Amino acid sequence: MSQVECPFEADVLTAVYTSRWPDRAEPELRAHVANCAICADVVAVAPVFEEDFEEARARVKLPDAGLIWWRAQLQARAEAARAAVRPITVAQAVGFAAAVGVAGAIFGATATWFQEALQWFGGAFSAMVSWRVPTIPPDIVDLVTTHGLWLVAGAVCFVLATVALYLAVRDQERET
Amino acid sequence: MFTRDMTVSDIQRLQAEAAGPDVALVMDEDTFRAFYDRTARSVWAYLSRLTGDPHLADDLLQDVYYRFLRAGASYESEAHRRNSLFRIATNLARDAYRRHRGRPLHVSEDIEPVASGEDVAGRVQRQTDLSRAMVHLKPRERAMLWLAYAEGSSHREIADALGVKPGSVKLLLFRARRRLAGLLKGGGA
Repeated sequence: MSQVECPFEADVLTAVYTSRWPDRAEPELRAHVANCAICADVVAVAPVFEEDFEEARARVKLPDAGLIWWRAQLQARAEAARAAVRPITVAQAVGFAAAVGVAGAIFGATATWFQEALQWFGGAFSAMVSWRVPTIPPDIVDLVTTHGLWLVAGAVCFVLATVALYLAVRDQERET
Repeated sequence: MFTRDMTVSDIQRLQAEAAGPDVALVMDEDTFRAFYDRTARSVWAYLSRLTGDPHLADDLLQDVYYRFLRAGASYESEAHRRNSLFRIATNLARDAYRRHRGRPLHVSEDIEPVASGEDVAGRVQRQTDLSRAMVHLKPRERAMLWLAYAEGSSHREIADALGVKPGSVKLLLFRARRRLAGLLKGGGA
């Protein structure tokens, strides 16, 4: 592998950074740089970066540290609020899905026209792919017809709880 | 240049919102202010050269400090803290580069030298040459050269900031310097 660094590199850099390069640098160092490809690259690159760095530092108009601090605080608070609300959002989604599921089950178990239509579609489908649509077990039909009112009330409670939770969280988010 | 000018109501709103209890950040406000004053100019210059876009550097700078504050890490020393800051800046600039991939890197032509008097035209020319040459370098090469020759970082600090093995910095730096020197001399590398 060819040489990738030169022992005089640090001396050359020091000369550049102390503004001694090239005029006030030691003649030996200048002679070395003239014959060393690595140090020649260093003197081609380092002064340009140093000058550019100083220009950039002087040119930039930075925002106030307080403003950055405020924004960091706000962002951190918003993130914390989002993290806190995440389980509630999941609970809302589960509640909503459960409410829809219960309502659908009640509808399916009580609407005779729906059951007839389902049987008809199931018959047509099983004729094509030799598969039988499972019928709703009689126990479940009995349960729904006997306690249907309670199940409807439960579904309504689910939906109301979900909506209440959503409204409470929304108000809390507005306050923060 | 950073963001739009803030109105009084903006400031009042921010003050009111920030008046609540402090959330956990890595340092208190006074320490942060001092640290920011010491480091922000360097970080901005680094971001500006890495992205080639001073306006993007403005935006990224705020993100850098936000992520730094939220990192929750403990730092052994100022140097460690500073390295961490540059590592965050490197990652953000890399992400920005990936997002803008396919679009040529912006070359800022509106360089206004701060120094007056001697060699103003020469300075402007050298900066424009550097901008144009940097476009041809890979992001890691730009970062490495900047850290080495503008920041004066050691090989270990460069390795820390760029997430490369300390042992490979020497060779990577050699190649990047070779390439840039060639470009600056007009050789194209």
